[in-house]
Amino acid sequence: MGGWIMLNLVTHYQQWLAQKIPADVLSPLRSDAMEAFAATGFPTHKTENWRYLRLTGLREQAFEVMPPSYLDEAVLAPLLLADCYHIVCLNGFLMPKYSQLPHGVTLNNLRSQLTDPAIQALIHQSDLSSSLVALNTALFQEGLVIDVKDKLDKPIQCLFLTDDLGAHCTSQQRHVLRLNVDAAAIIIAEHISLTEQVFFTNSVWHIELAERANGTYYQLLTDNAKAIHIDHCLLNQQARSVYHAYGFLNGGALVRTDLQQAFLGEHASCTVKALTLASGQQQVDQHVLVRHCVPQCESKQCFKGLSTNQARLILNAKVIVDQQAQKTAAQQQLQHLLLSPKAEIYSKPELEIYANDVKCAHGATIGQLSDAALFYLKSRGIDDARAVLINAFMQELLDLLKWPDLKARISSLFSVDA
Amino acid sequence: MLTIKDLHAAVDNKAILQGLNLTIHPGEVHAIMGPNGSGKSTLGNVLAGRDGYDISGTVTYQHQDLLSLAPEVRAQAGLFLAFQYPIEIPGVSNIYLLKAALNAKRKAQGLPEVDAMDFLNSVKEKIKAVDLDQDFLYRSVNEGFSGGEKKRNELLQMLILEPSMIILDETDSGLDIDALKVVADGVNSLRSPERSFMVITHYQRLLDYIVPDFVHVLANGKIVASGGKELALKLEAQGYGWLDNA
Repeated sequence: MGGWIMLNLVTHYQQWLAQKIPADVLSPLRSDAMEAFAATGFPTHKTENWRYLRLTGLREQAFEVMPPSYLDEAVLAPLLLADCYHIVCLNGFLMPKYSQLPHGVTLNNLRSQLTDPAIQALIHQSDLSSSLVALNTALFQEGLVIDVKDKLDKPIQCLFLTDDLGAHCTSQQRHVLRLNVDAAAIIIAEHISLTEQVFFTNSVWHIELAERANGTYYQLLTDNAKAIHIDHCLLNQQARSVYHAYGFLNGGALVRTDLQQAFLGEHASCTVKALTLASGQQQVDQHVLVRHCVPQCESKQCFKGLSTNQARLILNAKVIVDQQAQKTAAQQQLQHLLLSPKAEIYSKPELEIYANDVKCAHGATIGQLSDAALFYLKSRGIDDARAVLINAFMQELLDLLKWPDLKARISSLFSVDA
Repeated sequence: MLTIKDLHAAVDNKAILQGLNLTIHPGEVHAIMGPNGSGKSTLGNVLAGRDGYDISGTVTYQHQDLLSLAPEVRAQAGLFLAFQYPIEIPGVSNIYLLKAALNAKRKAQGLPEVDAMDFLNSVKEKIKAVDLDQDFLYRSVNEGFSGGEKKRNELLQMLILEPSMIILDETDSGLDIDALKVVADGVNSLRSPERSFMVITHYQRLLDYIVPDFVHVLANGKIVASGGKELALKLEAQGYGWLDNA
C-alpha cells in the first residue's frame, strides 16, 4: 500500500516537471534531479540522515503548485519591522511593490538569471543525494537573487508569507544570497503563515561570502501548527569572511533545516546559534555541518533546544576538520531541556578531526528542570518558578534579537505553559 | 508565631522526624542543635515546603495551617529558609530574583510593586552591609559564588525581604570567622520583637555570635532536651553522647 502511494506521488511530481516546468537551460539537470528523487522518494527512517523524522505528512498528500496571491496591506503592515529594508514574498512569489532596498543591494528574480554562468554553477552544486534537494532542483521556479555590494546600514527583513490560496500546495523555492568583497549585511528571514491550513515549503538557499564579507542571517521559522517546512542552505565562505547564523525555530508540524557550510579561505569564522522549541505533536529536525577545508578558521556552535508535550526534537551538529586545516578552532555546545514525560530529544554532536594542530571542543546535555532550583525559587516566593527557569535557559539566545518589536514577537512565541 | 505539634516526616518509609513539638513566640531566637542525621535539615525543609516527604502532624504559622500552603505562599507570608547549600541558578540574575521575590510578597500583602529607583537604592545600601560587591547583583544567582559569598547572598535576600520567621540551616558551615561575623551581624540587625528565628546548627560556635533565647537538642527526630544558651555550652563540652543515657 505504502509503495503504491509512493509510486503515485512520484508520478505526481514527475508529471509536474513534464507539464508545468518550461524547458530552460537547467532542463538536463532537472530531469537528473527528478530521476534521483524518483529512485528514493521521500526519505524514511531507513535513511540515516532522516531516521528520527516521520515524513508521513509528505507521503500521504500530493501537494499542488502554490499559486500567486494578493497581499492585504493591513495584514502586512504590522509584520514589517521598522528601521529595516524589506523583501516580501507571498506563496513563494516576490512582491516587488513591497520590497524596498538601498543602492548597495541588487534584487533579481532567479528566473531571469538562469543564463548567468555563476548562477548555473551554484545550482549545479545541489546535492541530489538528498531527495528533498533533488525535488527542489527539479521543480523550483521562483526565487530571489540578492547581491550585496556595500556595508548596509540597516538589516534586510525578508518576509516569506503563505496565505489560504497556498493551502494544500507546495512552493519549491531557490534563493541566492551573495555578499561581495568587504560587503556587510544582516538578513532577517522570517516565515509567517497567513493560513491555518497545511502547506509544504521546500526551499534551498545558496549563500556565498566573498573575502572579508560579513553576513548575519536570522532564520525565524514561525509557521502554523500544520505546516511542513524543509530548508536547505549551502554556505561557502572565502578568506576572512565572518558569518553568523541565528535560528529561532518554533512553528510548523514538521520542520527540517540543513546548513551545509564550508570554509574555502583562511581566517574566516562561522557562528551558528539556534533556539528551538518543539511542542504539541511537532517534529523539528536540525542538521548542521561545518567543514574546515582550510587552515586558520574558527567555528562556534551553540544550540538550545526544548521539547514539551509529545514533541520530538532532533539535532545533528557536525564539524569536519580536514587534514590540511591546521590551527582550526571549533566549539560545539548543545543544550537541551525535556519538559514533559512524553517529549523526545535526539541530540548528536559530531567532531571529525583529521588535522593534528587544532583546538576543538564539544559538549552536549539533555536534562530536566532542576527540582532544587525550582524549590529554591519557590522558597523565595516566586509563583512562576518553572517559567522563570525556562526563560533563563532561553534568554541568552533571545537576546540576539536586537530589535525590540521583533524580540517581543519571537519571545512571546517561545513562552512555555508552566 | 510558629507552633509545631507532633510533626512526623518520612522519606521512602524511613522515619526522620518522629513526633516533634516546638513553639516559637514573636521575637524569640531558638537554636536547634543535634548530631548528624538527627533530622535538623529535614525540619527546615519541611517547614519551607520542600516536597518528597510524607508528613503528619500540624504546624501553625501566624494562625494559618502552614503544611497546607505551597512553598511560594509560605515565603510570601514571611517564612524564609536560608539554605545550607544555596542553589546556583544560571541565567537568573540576582537583582531579578530579589525584585521578583519582593514584589511577590508585596502582591500577597495587597501592596503595589516596588518603585524601581527606590528598590535599587535600597539594594545598593544593603549589599554593602553584607560586604559583597555590587557586581553580584547582576550575576546569575549564586553561580560561581564561593561558599561565603553564597551565605552572604542569603543574608542579602533576608535584609530585602524582611521575613517574619527566619530559619537558618547550618548557616555557619563553610564560613571563615570573618564571614561568620558579617553574617551574624546581619542576622542580629534583623532581630526585633516581631521577628523570630530558628537557628539550626551542629556547632555551638555560631551561637557565640547569634545568641539564642532557647536551645533545643534534636535526636532521632524528636526534641530530647531544651534549655537556655548554657545548654549549647554543655553540648560543646560533652558532645552529644550523654544524650543516649539521659
